[in-house]
Amino acid sequence: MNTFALFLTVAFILLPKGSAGQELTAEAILARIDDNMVFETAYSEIDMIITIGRRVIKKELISYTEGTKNSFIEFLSPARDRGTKMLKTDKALKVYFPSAERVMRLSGHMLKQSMMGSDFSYEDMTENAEELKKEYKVKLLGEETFNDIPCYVLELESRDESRTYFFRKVWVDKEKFIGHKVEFFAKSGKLLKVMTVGNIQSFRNRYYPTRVTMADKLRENSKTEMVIKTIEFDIAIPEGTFTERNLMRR
Amino acid sequence: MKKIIQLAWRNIWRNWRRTILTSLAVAFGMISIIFSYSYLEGITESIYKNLIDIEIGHVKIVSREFLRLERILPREHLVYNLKELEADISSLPGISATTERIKFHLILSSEDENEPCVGIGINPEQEKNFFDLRQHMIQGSYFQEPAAEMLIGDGLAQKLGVALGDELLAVTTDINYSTYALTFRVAGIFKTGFTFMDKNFFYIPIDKAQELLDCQGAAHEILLLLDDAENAKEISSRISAILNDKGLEDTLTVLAWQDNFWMSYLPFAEIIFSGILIIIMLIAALVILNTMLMAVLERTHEIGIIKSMGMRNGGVVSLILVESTFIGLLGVFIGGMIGSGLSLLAQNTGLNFTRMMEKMEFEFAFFSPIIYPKFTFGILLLAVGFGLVTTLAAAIYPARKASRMEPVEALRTSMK
Repeated sequence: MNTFALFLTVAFILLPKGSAGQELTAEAILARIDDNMVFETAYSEIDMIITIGRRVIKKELISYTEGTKNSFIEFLSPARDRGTKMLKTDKALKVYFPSAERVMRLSGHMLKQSMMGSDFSYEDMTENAEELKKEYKVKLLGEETFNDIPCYVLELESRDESRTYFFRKVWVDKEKFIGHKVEFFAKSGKLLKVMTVGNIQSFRNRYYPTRVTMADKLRENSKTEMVIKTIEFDIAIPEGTFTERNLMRR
Repeated sequence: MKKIIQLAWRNIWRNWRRTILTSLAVAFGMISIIFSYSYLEGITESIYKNLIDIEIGHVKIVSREFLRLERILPREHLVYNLKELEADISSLPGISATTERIKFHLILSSEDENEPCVGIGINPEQEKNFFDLRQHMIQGSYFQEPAAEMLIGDGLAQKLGVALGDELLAVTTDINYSTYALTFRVAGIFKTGFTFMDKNFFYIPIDKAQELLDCQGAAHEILLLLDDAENAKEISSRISAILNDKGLEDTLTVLAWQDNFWMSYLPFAEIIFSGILIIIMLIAALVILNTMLMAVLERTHEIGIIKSMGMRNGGVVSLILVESTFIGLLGVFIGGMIGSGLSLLAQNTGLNFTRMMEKMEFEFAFFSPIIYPKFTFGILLLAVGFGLVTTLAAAIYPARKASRMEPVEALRTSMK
């Protein structure tokens, strides 16, 4: 046995599985994802493209988010949706319908309903990027390539029994720490939704996907793509954005 | 023979208590049969009527896709150009009423509750010829004028915590996947006794439903009532021809009530009902058989005397059969009168099972909570035949047994 072979053998015995030098715990990977996804405030302009069978419907919206509690969404088009607004605070999720000039407070099973006909639920849309490491227990399942990108595969299990997506399986980019694909499961193990992301851009201190595609597996032939046209992180958000008054403003 | 008839007549009145009791057994059997048969006929008829009024009409025009996916009420599969189509159809003979409906899922929202439910957009005037909600209003009134008003099931009103005059927000996804909402004032609360309707349904004028779904001038189905329901297939094929001319046959379809899938459930119901009736007839037959057997066998001693006085076996059998015929006729008369009377009475007042039905949760049971039994002369005839045949059949065995006894042996049987 030559020296090189001996070295390899020793290396394999001494090193835990996984490639040398890049070894990270599952928790550390999760923390790196959080670094990318969690922010103080953000403003974005988004095109929402719903594809159902052969039909394609495009909606435009703007969104403000602050911390882990507050978010505000307003639809700009099409005409029938214009002026529909959503406000989420730590207390409640409310939707304003301009045609009826009324606010509806959403709770319970309503949060899981399709939002504006898309594959995203109200809950999906208004839930702020939460700190995954606080919300989920994590396990590293292994490594795979997804779309030619080397990824860690994580399994997340909710710490909260009542969470809609009790399990998540995430394919995490080993370099940029972006979840390229997420499968959402119910507690029963039933696959509910699949999310994939694309067009990852580099911002001052983070990577962020500007195209997110969600497919609700309980709907036939359906997917919804969110194309983030503009996003600004950590900006000053106008006073009073996250108030009911703003919700009902014409 | 004349003597035997005289003897039989005298015999049955000699012990009149026994005669009355025995014929009451026959009467009891008759009453059970007449009443239960009328009742089951009433149920069958009400299921047909409800199905036709609420769901299928005599003829229904609907999009093929809507029909295929009816369980989820796919909002985008509509019948367009309603007015034009109805104008063409109304030129056909034998159509007594027409209406159109929109059916869709949406969320009703009150101050503190949101409930998913089923909205039905109707034409208030035309709908009266079909399922007439006016008969089921427990509070408020039917649509007064075309306005933003709704009629709501009492169970649904309870779930939402709303009362007459309150406003509800109706939120739905329209046919272009936009979300749209309108408010409605609760103008009336209905209670039909059909649990699925009372707990999930509300009615709004069809133009408001079209506004919600963004489908002006369209509906999910057109329903027709005919002067004669038997013409449904013929009218359907003539409407199909109209659709063909317009090039609509690929998207729309015409269904005669006989071809509606709901109808395929009815034979099962009818088999079950026949089974129930057969069981009731068996029980009635057993009661009659038992009573007749007792009545003859307790006269063993008496038969011994007649035989020792020289009557032949055949004479004894004839005597007993003639007596049984008298008893049977008496029983059939009493039973026929009471049974028909009760059924006719119930036919007018109806039997109300609303409270019982509330506890049941059929998804789509078209059992009316109030059943009006349907008495017919045929039912009476059947029961009369049954009463006479059973009585006679029940007498043959004991009559033969008694006639074959040795007189001495018969005499030895203790006198009661």
